[in-house]
Amino acid sequence: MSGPILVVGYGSTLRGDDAVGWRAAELLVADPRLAGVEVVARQQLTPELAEDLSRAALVVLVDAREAPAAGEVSVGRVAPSPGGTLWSHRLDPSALVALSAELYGPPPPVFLVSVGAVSFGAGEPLSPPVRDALPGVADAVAGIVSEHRRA
Amino acid sequence: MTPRRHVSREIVIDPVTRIEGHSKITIHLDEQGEVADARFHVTQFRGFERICQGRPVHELPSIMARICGICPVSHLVASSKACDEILAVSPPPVGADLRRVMNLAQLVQSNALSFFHLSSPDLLFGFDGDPASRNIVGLARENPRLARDGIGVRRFGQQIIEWLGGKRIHPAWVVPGGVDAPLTAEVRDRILATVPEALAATERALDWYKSSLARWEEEAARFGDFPSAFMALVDVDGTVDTYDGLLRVVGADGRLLADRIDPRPYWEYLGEAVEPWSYLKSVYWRQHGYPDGVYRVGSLARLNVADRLGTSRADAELEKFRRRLGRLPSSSFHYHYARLIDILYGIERIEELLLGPEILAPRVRSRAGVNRNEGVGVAEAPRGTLIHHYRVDDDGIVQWVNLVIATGHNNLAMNRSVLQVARHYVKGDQLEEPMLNRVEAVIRCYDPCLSCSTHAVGEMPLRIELLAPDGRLLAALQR
Repeated sequence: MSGPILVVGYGSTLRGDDAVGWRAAELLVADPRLAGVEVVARQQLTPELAEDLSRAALVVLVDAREAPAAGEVSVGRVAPSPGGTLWSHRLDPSALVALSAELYGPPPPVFLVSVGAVSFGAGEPLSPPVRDALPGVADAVAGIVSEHRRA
Repeated sequence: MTPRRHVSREIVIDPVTRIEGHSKITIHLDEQGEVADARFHVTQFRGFERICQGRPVHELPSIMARICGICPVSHLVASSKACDEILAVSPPPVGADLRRVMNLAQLVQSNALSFFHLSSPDLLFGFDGDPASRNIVGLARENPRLARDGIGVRRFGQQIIEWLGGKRIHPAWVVPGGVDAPLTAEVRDRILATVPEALAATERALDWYKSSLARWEEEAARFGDFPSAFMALVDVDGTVDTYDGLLRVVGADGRLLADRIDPRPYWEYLGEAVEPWSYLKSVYWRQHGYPDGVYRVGSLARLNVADRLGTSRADAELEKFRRRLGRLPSSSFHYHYARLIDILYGIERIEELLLGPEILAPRVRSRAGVNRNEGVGVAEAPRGTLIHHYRVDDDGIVQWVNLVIATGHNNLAMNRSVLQVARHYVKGDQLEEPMLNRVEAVIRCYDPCLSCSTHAVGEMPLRIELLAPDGRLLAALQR
């Protein structure tokens, strides 16, 4: 599949560790391993992203996840599922992929890089373990992109 | 939507879904099992009126924009207008026009979210439809053209906000005295290039909605169909004005209660009441008292109040709307229809403003220090008239804030609407998804934004009740 590679870091910048997707996006914009990759930061996954996703050859989402192991980075492939969060203007990754597939045809491979997070209270700083995990997040995203380019 | 519990004399819908914010509805039954009362409870709490006290006034637009992730621009505009008053400045004309463009982009994207993403699943599948399908993915499967148009129209508004303000949510481009930077020819042309498709998508949605409206005659007759006043901003000619208008209020009988009055001394016309079961204030038309002074704001009110919208396509649709529904449609179900015409108006007006010969002029901001101790800013947000009122000391430190938000104006009407729907559709103690969805859907007609409308620390009494299974009150805690 041709098209750009898209990285979307998302979350609230005002709710502690939930900002890790934004902070990762800020880091990845300047990462030479991701030259030519489109990196964006968003508060939430909204339906409009379904169209962006359909134009991409590869999509990597970066988000925080509630987990006891703070700072643990995990990578998973996102499968379409219409049964995700559908009650508002906000979608979860599987619902976003499902929406894109319904509207624009078979979606590209979509990966979710998630970071174990513990602190979602009001405030801007990341907790130390999540802040320390940022280089690992960048490595994980760069690894996915590199593998895609080799294939 | 999940019916959480059923107590012998009370039905609770918690949470109400596909709205912005957190709320619940309680339906109270009498001894015969008939609906005696129904209430829309707003259960989330924000506290912005207190948070802002002690902050320098120039910070307020950016802080106020954080009230909401859906309509931050509306707060940014109303807040900056209040700050203009405190600085005692008028923005340069082009600065005001650029504020208008961003406010209209907000109107387009928020109305698109409400109509396409939150409400159209009900309208496509019906209120008796499978709840698992009544969402945006179900919509995409059943009517991909409508879903794609919804995404396109919302993107149109969001992109304008991002291109002007640097980001889609919480842009800081609108500032006291005007806007932060002039418009470039490149951005203007980029926006103008997207206008034709946004207009076409909105007109396709209008055609679809009008062709399906006959299907919803029963709901239209019962979804908040009652006589009430309507309020919105118009210009001196009676044309709708979403940025800098004068207040017009039309009574339930069509006669004017107020016409083209200065909206800034709002406290002379509007009263604010609180109830112990909600964080959301109820605003009422003071002359009619509380709770009789019910009026409605937002897209339906703009169409009912204004003589015209002032753009060709929107005025043509307004004429069809009035031919079909009358001069003063009283059902809140018609907010959906009105929202689409509102979007059409917004797109056309953006194009008009951007084609203005001076729109690229470099002078877009007036600068001054604190020259007054009080300021009121008023504009039309997507959901209706938005009022920011600040008092500052001589150093510009905020002493007092009052916000009157569209959802507060509509609170009395929302409660009346919930009761009307519940009385018709809720029978005895039987709980069925379609009837509960109708009770919930009448709230969605108003597209309430609860994040925006709950902010008065210490003034909003909250009553917590502990009830036995038989309905007896075991304990009560009141703040």
